[in-house]
Amino acid sequence: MQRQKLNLLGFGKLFGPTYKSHLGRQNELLANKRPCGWYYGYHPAELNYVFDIVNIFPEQYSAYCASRGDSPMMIDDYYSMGYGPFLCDYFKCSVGAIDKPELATKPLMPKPDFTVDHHSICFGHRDMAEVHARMYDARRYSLAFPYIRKEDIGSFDDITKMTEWMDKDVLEYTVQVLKDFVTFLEGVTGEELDDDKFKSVMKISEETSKYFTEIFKLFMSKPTPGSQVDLANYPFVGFFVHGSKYGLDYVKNCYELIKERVRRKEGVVPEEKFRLMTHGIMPWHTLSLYNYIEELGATFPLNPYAHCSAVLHDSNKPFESLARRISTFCNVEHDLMLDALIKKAKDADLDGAILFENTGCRIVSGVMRPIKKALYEELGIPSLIVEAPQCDSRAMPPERMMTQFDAFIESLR
Amino acid sequence: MRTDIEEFYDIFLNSKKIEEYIRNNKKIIGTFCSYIPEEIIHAAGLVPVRLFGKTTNVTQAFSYIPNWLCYYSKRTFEEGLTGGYDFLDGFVFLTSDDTNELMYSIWKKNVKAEYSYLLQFPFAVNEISKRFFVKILNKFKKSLEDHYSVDITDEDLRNSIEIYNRYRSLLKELYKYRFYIPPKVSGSDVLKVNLASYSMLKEEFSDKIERYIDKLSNENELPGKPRLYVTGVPIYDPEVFEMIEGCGSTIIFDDLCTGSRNFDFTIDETAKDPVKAIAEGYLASKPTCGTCSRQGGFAIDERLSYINERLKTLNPDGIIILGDKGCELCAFSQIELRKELTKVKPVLYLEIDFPLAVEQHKTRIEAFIESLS
Repeated sequence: MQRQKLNLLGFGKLFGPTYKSHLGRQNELLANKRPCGWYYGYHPAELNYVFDIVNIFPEQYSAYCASRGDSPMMIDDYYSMGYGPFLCDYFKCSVGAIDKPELATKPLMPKPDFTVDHHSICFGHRDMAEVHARMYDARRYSLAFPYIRKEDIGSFDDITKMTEWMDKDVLEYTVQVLKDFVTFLEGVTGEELDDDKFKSVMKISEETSKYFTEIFKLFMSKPTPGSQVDLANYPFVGFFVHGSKYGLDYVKNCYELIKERVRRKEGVVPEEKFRLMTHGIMPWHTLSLYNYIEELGATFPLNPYAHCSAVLHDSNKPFESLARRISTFCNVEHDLMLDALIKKAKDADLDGAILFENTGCRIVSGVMRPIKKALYEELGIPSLIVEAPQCDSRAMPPERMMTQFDAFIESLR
Repeated sequence: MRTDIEEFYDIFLNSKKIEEYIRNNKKIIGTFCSYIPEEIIHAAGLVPVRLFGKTTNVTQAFSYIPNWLCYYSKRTFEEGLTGGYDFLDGFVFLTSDDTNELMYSIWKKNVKAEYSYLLQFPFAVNEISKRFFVKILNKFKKSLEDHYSVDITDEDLRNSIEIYNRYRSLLKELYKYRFYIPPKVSGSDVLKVNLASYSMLKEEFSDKIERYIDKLSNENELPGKPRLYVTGVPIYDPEVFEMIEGCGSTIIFDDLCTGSRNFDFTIDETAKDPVKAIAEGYLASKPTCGTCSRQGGFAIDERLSYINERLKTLNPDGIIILGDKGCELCAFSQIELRKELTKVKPVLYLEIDFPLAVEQHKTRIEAFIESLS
């Protein structure tokens, strides 16, 4: 098949200054001896900006190591410690980095004063935090959010995370957990929650969330306006720096770019041949894989993994907004997840799906076969499942993946 | 005594009692985790049985799930897919880890039963989570009442708590016969007895085990051998314990979730609110496997504290940790467990999978036992 020239949106270029601002904030806070917390998954990020906490993300750090090509050394060290093959790559990289900092990508993560884990992405976060906290003798807080069943919310939107309803007990409990976490942060910082600051951070978050959800909706336009590589920084912004001014500026600028692109009806490739869904944690070691597929004329208007970082907020109900974030594809019964996904797949007018099964990630790998089945049964759409650990290219070398992509795309013609 | 053991094992292996319950029009509810409060199911007049996939030939399951998940989930699901659990009227899962959450949806879609329920389990134990768990259990109770058109009264619940407390206390009693120097009963025999308890009504099991314990008190001790403490993943294949003991040792204690972690706690029988008592018992008193811990604490420390207390009392010669590379909980914690326990006693770590690589394991076990003497 003839390869096409990509016309990227350029979200990546905008990210440089954003990340610089983030690191600048961290360095300033560290210099002022502010407490440092290690966070896992999709946590109430806004509270870090309310309490001026140095917020560190072992997963994001591990993805960064993979993108720099350093992760295999860290993963080898993880194995030498005696751990097994079927745990999350993020855990493998981060444990390797702690154990042998000389092998790890610089700058290293600063030592944590405490860790915060939760369960609305995966149980592994809880275990990861426990191991890390013990390695550093750090304090630990667990946001014991509940897993969501169909009877708890009815249905939810894959992008906005708005639910049909939310069970009173589930909502009340989740809010209580969040309030207890605020008490924990008050203890860590020795400062009471500043209500005005909380309101203003949540206002920023609300605005950020609106841009976020709009960008994902626009991404589903015909032709697909951007590349998956454009979206690669979205999990970082969506998961970890929600509530920051620099996060808001970033998504606002991204929104302007994509809005204009859609207005001009311009796509990421001159001739869009197939519209695909992709799902699963991105193969951070070789993001160019997405480009490889896109150059063949197959674009990705839909990526539920990236959607995980989006949520629509109402700053007038700050705790309730934070609580509602637990409705992600990772934390709901499959029936709910599949309903939400099929709706979006219909809207995106898909021809197929390429699903990354991240070895060691039970949540992501566990949903791929049900998704493949549902897409085929309900929409007649074929899927390709590729085994793809997110930080270790050795388990599935990109060249092997490319062969599978070629064959799959050929079959769509 | 051998006949007694084989009778117990037959109940598990060939679902003898389950067949009888079905003939008597009893409804069977499958459960998947030792944290599921069976007392509530029992109080509804149903028969809770804990499911353990016996097949080691897993093939069909891999069309639905990755092949690197834990052997418990793979084997149990394979049995579900191939009709091994056609006797089930319903099943109950608990959100005890990522695999269990995932398997609930997969079972619901592909194995199917008249009734299915997912219990939400709070992982960090504090007053907030306890209150929430009480609500969760009340909803579960209501769901059973609605589906099976029964009323579960407080009296029913207290009665079931009493039955389960008696069952737990008798198993504790049975375990004491392993502590004798030398022991009066082997670890593999006790495992067979334990397994029977998962496949029958606890009141019947308790009557049966009481008679067995009476006989056991008059039994001779087994030949003296190195005494081992076993910890790790759920084991429900006696051949694992037979392999270890066959190499010249006796397993004097196991804190597996098919062993002491299942019964080493009691629930208040006199509480005004029996559901609250059940929630308290399972969330705050049951020995943890790593699924939950006190808020701010570490599950591994709670686990180590439980093990170390028993090591002090029992003074075994060595410890065997049984692992499963597909078990998330075990894979995260085993390094720390090995490191800490090695400070106290010699430790052997064995990674188990099925079909069991008996000869390979035996070489390591024999060398370990040799090193103890």
